[in-house]
Amino acid sequence: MASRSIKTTILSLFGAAALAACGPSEPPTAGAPPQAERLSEAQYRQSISDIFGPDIKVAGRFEPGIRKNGLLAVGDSVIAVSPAGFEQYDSMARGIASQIVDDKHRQTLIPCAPAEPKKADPACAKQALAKYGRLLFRRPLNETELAGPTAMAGTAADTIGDFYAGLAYGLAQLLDSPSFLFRKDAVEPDPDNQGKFRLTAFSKASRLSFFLWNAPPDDELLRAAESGEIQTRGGLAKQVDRMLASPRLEAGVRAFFIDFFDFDKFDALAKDPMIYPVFSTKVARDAEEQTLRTITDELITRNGDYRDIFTTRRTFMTRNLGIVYRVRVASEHGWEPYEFPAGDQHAGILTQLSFTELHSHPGRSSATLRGKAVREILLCEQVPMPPANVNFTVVQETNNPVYKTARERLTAHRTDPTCAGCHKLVDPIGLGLENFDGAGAYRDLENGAPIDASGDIDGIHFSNAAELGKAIHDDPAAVSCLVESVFRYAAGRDFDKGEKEWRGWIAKQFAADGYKLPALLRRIATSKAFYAVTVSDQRVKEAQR
Amino acid sequence: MKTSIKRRQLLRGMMGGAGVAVALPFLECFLNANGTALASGRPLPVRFGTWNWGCGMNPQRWIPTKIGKDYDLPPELKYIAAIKDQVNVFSGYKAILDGKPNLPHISGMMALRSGQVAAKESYDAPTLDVLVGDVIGTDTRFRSLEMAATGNPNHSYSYRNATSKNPAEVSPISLYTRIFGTDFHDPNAADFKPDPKLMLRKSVLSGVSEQRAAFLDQLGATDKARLDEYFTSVRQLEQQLDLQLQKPPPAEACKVPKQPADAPVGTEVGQVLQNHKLMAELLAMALACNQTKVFNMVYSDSASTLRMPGEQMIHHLMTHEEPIDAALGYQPKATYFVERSMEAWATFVSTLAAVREGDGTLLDNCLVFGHSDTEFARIHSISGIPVMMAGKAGGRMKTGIHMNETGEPITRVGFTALQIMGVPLDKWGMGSMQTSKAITEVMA
Amino acid sequence: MTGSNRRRAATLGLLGLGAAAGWLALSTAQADQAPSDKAAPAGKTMGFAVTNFPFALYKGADDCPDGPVLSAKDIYLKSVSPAEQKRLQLPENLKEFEQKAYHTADGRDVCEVLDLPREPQRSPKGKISYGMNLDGTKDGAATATTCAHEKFTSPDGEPVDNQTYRVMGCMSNYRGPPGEQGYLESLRNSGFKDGGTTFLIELIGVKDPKNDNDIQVGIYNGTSQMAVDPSGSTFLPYASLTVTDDKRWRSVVHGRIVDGVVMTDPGDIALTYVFGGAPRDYHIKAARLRLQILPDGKAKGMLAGYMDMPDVDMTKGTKQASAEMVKYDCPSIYQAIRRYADGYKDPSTGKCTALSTAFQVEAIPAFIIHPEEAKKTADASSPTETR
Repeated sequence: MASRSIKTTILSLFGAAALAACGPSEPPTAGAPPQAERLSEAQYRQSISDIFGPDIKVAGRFEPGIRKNGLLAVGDSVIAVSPAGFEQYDSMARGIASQIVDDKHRQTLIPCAPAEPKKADPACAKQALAKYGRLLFRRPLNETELAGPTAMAGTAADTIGDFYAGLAYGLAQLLDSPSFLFRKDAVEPDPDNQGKFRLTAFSKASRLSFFLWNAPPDDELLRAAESGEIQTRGGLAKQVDRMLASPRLEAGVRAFFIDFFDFDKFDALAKDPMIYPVFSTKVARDAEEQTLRTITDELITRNGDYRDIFTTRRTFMTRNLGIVYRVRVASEHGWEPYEFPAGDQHAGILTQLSFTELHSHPGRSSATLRGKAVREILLCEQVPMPPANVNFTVVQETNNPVYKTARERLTAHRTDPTCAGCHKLVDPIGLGLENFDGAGAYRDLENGAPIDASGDIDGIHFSNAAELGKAIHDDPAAVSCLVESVFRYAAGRDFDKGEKEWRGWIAKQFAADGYKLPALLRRIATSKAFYAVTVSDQRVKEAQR
Repeated sequence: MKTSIKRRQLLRGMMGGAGVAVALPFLECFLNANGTALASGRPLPVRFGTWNWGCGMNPQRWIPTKIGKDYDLPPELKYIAAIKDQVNVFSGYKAILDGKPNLPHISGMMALRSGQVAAKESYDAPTLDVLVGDVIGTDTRFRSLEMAATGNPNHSYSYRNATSKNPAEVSPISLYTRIFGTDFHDPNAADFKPDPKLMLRKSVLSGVSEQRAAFLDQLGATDKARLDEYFTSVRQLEQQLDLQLQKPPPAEACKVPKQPADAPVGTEVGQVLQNHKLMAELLAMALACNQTKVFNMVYSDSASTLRMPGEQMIHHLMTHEEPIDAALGYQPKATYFVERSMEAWATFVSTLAAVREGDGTLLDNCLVFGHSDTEFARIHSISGIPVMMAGKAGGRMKTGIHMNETGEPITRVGFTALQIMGVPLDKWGMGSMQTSKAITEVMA
Repeated sequence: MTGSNRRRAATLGLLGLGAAAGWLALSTAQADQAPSDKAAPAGKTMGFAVTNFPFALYKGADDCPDGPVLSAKDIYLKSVSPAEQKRLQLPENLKEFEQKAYHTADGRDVCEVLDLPREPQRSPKGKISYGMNLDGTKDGAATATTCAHEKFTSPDGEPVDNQTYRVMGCMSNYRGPPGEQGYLESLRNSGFKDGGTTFLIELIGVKDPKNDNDIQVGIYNGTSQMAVDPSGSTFLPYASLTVTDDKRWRSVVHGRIVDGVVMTDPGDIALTYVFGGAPRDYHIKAARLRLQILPDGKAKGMLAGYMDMPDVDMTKGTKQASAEMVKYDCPSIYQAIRRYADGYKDPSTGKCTALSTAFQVEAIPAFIIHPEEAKKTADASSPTETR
């Protein structure tokens, strides 16, 4: 979809500029301890698709992730696997393995043929398991690791009387292994820094690949790891640039924004069908896709300023979406570009369905939910929980007044001192979006009363949604939130105290780079901080022996 | 015929009243107090489960005025009329925050289920169902089964620790497939042939377990602990396979149900009631067929996202925004949801009571711990969080009693359940909620 | 019968309201989408998708004092004694009853003997009907191209022609119970909801949605299905719908807007629709569309013109056993159609070959997309369907 030539030109121009080393150099960081991140559902599926082909079906239920400090990617570093979760992994593993060895796939997928198909063949089994073990574990297996599955394949082949059926058990063992399901950081002494440690080449490749493509390392990246190139500055930069120029970058950027924007909430999104007949699961699916396309178009294809996603009138439409937005969509199938006219309130992603309908109730819009989402998701600002002694009796209405608009309904939030403390942080922002109902459709009136979408955010006044978008565009918290979220997503962890200077540095670079996302991705992917590891004193001692 | 020893006598004798935690042996063999057993001589298993609904009740319409036996049924409790004599009601027990914030719909749940509260939503201690499951759940195919009638797998309050939550099954058909699908073996099947493929599957898993030492190497302490949970989960599956390799003991009450139709899941209250009923029926059979002894059913999530067709507000929102009707004295629409919750509770308990087992019913061999997250949702009150316990727990629990001890920590109720189920703890809970006093009035 | 279609027959008439919200359906696209070869006029386009298109049946309370139109069985029973009536209606005599009722004495199906002597089919006796003044006369006297006939008076007091109403007005499966559409009507109109039929109306070159002396009006079939909510019970406005590229079902006529009401000059219009699973056509000659644009963006009005007798006729290729199921008698209706024909006089025979007809039109705002534009796709990699 993207204009590859534009991207390549921009990136090569940029690459040249980067080598000219403008600006202060990267501050040193101590790094963080090695981690073991659980694969997300998307990463699991992508791995199977990349390694075995897209027609291998993955049938099973993935247990939900946990969001830690706003990101599922950070939660993946602390989450365990429950018994129910492992049951599903095992079931999926058996299903995948049986497809790999079936008549349809064995010719293309199994790299060798057994001497006799009804008997075990340790050599061929080992060859197949070594090949796929390397791709699944994202590093070559050692002899011990290979011996187990190979023996398993042999025992099973003997029991069942079929090489391929037996091989499936060996493959299932690989798929059940924590070395597949978790990305465990491996470290080695750093030859360039006596007494210090670094990630192994394969762990580095893995971290890079899941960051930029949300996928396991491809052949070329594994080769660069095997040869050691990836441990050199030039070798790393070459791989990073290759990956940034690839169409696969889009999948990686999408994966980041899906996490960053809480798009997993779409799974449980439901609207009352009587109040919002325009809503359907198709609309929800298109809404998510619309915003992702808007973002990848602005930030990758056009290599634009990140802040412009809050003000852009350019987006994409399908006929399904055209009904909700009430715009003309000529293409019968698929997506077409659409630009709202100047002055239209549909400006920026805050006014897109993926924001307005996601952060609403099933039967009503919600200024509080939307304001909270802006604060917590887009500005990385934590909104405090209500205090223990909140007296909710103040909201008791004995005269049943009829409130027509949300602004009126939220009066108590604004005027009562116990409520206002927190609600003044969120409600005014959300009230700026009240022209968009709970399904995200535009309206001028609510219950016959005109909607007043004015407010202020941290001292900046706005009169409507388009101006709210502009206020977010201008808010320094929006860009620092993005920079920090990208790093935390990529590294799967929160910042360490010792990284304060680095955080300041990367934020400055982002501004100097014109707030362009590919430039930020490149800076992080080629930085030292992204890969830096600390190890326990005991480990250091062991290495010195 | 074993001597019937009263459990509490045993405990008192061993500990002489001192607050020492003693590793007690499994007490099942001592606890068949009513003396009934199957023809094989094995006592009927005792099961434990939690059932919860979100956004509490209206105290003036729920709390019985009479304390003790033969309690009255205020309007919101009228739904349990038919099963009243099998249900204990607990009112007035509170969550104590010790200065921590009252996280709406969270703190009450944490206190009640794990005995402690935190400054943010973080179940740092295991929930009571996990404690029970660790004791009684090791010899069944599933250590526990979690279900959510709302259709959302995140709606589960069963935690081993803050990062280890048991996800919920969300539809009758997925629950059916999990329990009665291809890996199910009818315990009453006349012939039993251990499937050789199960041995192979076991080998795969033990091969995975062999990687434990190498994999845990070089991990930090926290990562070691959580990856060890992974290996525990692997072993759990291995144990399930082990059980499937042996001829299961017969389960006279077990009747394999038919596969339910695939129906949509969601938070519309009619859907929730329907899916809840179907899942309750499947669970009853799962228990009768000894597939598990521990369960957690979420009827509605603690901040109740349930809704009525055509209504702008979800239940939770109504509890805050719907005005109290001057004539009725309560919020009519929000109360509709309370009443449906009580109706669903009664359905759940009755479903277990409808299964005949031994000389009585399945319910007689269960302890169902039903609770909400708050007392009066409008003000997020956590003093007097409603709890009900249903079933006779194999004779260990007396029923038909209303207990009200205003101001007592809510952990006393959970602790009572833990004691009845034989979890070897002499105290439970943290801070002001730490208790070693069970509510003996309901213990047999 | 799609029981979901329980629309009342709305009172048609001029409400004289503005059309402020109608601009919502305006698009900035130029009128070069009009299929005509003429140069594109200046102005904007307003689009509508029809949601209901029943015959405009006034259904006056005293229209059918003698009861509904008789079926062949009813007619036969009237010709025999009460005792015989009772006997024939016993279940065990059903075959005999049908044999006698559906066939002439010499065994031919009555649908093949259309000149079989019959009493005139029951017809509305009331004076009021919906419709338009198609022949230009006040009294229905014959003209060069039309035949003498009795006019109705519209509810607003205008003289109108609606000879089709005389044929259908007392047929129970057209008329239906009070407040409901008859079975045949709801079956036909269910096509909009279930996706079998799409009618589009395009106002082209609109400079002022309240008053404009010179616009074009396109009336087309659409190839896109109407957009409905997931339950299938509510139409969704503002859908983008593709026009058919089959020239037969595209008509463009000249029109004007007066006080928010569109009125077109007479022109021939042809539309196809699905009825009982099979395709059928309307050919409405010298048709005029009167369409009022409402403040909420919807539109309602009337389409009136002459329909050829065969299009109204339900006897062709039918057997009486089938006609009986919707309660009419072939010879009776055949003769009624000829009796009431009032338009397109055949000069050689002096007999009229078409009947004045009126349809109610209800429509919601829509975006009209012409086929050339619809076929282009910016990115087909994520195909999506409206249904």
